[in-house]
Amino acid sequence: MLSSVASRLYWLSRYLERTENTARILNTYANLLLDLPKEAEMSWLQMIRTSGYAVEFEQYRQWPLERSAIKFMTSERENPGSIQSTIDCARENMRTLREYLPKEAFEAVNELHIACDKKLARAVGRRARYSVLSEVVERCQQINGLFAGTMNHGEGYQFIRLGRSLERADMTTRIIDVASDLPHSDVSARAPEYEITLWVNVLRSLSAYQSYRQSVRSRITPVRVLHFVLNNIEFPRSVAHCLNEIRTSAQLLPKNEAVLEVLKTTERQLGSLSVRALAREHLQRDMDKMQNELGQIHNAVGKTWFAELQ
Amino acid sequence: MIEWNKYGTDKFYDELIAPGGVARPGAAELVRYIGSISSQNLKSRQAAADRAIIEMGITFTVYSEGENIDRAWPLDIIPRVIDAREWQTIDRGLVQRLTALNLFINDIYHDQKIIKDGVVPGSILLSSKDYLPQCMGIDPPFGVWAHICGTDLVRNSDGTMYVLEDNLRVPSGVSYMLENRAVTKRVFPELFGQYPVRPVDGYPHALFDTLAALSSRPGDEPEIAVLTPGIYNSAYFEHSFLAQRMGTELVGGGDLVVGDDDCVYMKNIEGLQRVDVIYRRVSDVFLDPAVFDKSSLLGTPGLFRAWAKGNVALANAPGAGVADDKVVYSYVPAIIRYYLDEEPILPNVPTYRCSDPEDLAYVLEFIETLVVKPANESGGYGMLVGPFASKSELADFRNRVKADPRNYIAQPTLGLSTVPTICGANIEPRHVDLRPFVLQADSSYVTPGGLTRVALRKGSLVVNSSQGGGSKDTWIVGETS
Repeated sequence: MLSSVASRLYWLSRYLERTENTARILNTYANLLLDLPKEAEMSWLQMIRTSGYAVEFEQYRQWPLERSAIKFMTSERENPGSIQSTIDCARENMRTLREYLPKEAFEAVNELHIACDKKLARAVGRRARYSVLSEVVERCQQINGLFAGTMNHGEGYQFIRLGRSLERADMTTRIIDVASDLPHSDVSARAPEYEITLWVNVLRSLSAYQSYRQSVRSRITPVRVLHFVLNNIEFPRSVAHCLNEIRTSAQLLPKNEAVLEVLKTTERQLGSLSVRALAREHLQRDMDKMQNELGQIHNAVGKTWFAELQ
Repeated sequence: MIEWNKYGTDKFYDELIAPGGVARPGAAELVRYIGSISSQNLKSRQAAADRAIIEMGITFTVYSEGENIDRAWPLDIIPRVIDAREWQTIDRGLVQRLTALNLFINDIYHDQKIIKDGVVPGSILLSSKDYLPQCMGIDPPFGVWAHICGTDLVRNSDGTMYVLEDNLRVPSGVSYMLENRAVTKRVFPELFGQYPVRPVDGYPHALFDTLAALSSRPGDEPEIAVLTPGIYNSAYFEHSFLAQRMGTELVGGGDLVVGDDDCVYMKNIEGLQRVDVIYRRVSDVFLDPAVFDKSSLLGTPGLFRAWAKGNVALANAPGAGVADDKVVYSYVPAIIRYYLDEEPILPNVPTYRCSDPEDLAYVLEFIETLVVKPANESGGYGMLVGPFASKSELADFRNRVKADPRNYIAQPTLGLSTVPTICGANIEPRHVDLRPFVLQADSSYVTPGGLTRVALRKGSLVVNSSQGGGSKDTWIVGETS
């Protein structure tokens, strides 16, 4: 397989996953906002921090904050982290992959792109927001289903899985990173009863609420939630599960030694987190470390399979 | 239902209907069949074809207003029919022509005997944009430089088939020829059952064999790649289509690298893999930024060197375009006689070279009856069709020709032949041309038929799809002698 094709499959998949994640997080926050006191508008800034474009938003923000935050994260092409931008990137990577992707998947990505172009602007208003964002999530999941169900699970598919798993693991650590900041924020200090709402929100942002309830079967506490989204190997968005997926895919690809080596370090790092029982004060630092580790895997993937392109 | 005796064929040669509403040889069954179905039925079949084209994703790209638009490929479902006996002659004529052109190109890049013998003037090289002095002395396999040629043929009102143009650079359209057949089979399945139409789908195999024959490592399974300028090229659909049909990789310039051993490699996830033959759909000047256009991002540095050393075959070879020039065109009959000692089987359209003072005087005087073309443009751009031009256009072209006579040629305006075409609820004659594709390496191959392009606007002679042209399936029908 050509390195350029492998790399485009990888990026297509990362961008699709990012699109889905952004849509889900936005929906969750929009829902959370209805439960929080009026002055909790700060949470929109938290949401934007998970995307990694908080600095850019400072330049961009206008009043009312909610509208401008939603616009920034949905239809705003100036923001590289907006749903519109990531789906644009996904489509751009896909255009030259026609002969490598199942026709249905190719068409589904195109349709998602068209739907985003047409409907995202409507998400600024509260009434249409839920249905527009849910449609994005559903379409992304449909595309993943088409990849899994209609594509040969050969080398090309492994690059799709690699991209998806890395993006997923990265997003999980970002959500934890931002959530861990909440206890120090104004909202929780003044109203500690909201803390539980915020951790439920973490679970919902990851589509993890139901899974958590089924497998943990006890009261929601920050430590249990963290354990679940980091270490529960069965939950498909946990960091442990994603690392497992990355390992399986890497093992099916040629010249995988360097990637597997980095992966081993990452898994060790994840293991050591749980040992320290996820002490609150270390959490942000630990998540930064995990993100750094995931970055190392990304670099190793690029160096191993796409290296000649640079 | 169409009444063929009311179908107006008076002024031009119609490919299906002879004067008086009688079918031409080979077309009888098709004409009877189309005459037997209602115009409603015909319309619904055209609609089915349009749908199939969208479903199959057959598109071409138009670049306009800074944007690339993928448009559905326009196909008119009534096929153009050529009698197999006539085709036999055309087939021989095409092979003869390309054989002579390849001998010409090889001579130009070696001893230039044809110039020394005074058959063509040396100035021909100065006016050709595609003459590459860097190619002097290089010996591509079999002495063949143009492996894939798209020859444009037109039939004049006199019924004679003329060669209008030899496209030897990166001719396109063959994928549409194949797709047109696939769609037409869906639309008229009952006709194919009983009608001896020669199949066209051998082309990808013939192309593969032609390319494979060029490999410098015989015996091994050659690694072949199709080199595309990328998604924004108007023929990208075709590049991807041919790569898929041949089972070869579709690569961009960035996917290739030339090693210290002057061999070409493809960048794979396993590492570097040697490439033997490149079917390049990138123009000469963009092939190798180290030799030609320094700013080219489409090519690969070192590619020319690797080719010159014989480590990789390029099809078509760089510099082959020297013979795809409208001034050289006017010498092709002489070229055929010179190298093959044969009379040309297919005639040229009479051509006035504006570099010749006498011809120039004639062109300036009778410009309103002529078609004037720049020597080195394709796609129908920058040309003047005298009888259709306004006074100011004629004056403008007179000045242009006077300023740079060497860059222009002129030809009489031909009365292109017509084929019945669906126009709303009616069937009307529309002008067509024909582009068969010829392959040449150790042996030659001609597509049975080719791509028929049709000018959809009434009276128009412009068949280019980028300028509102459509297409038709082309049937070679009947027994050969």
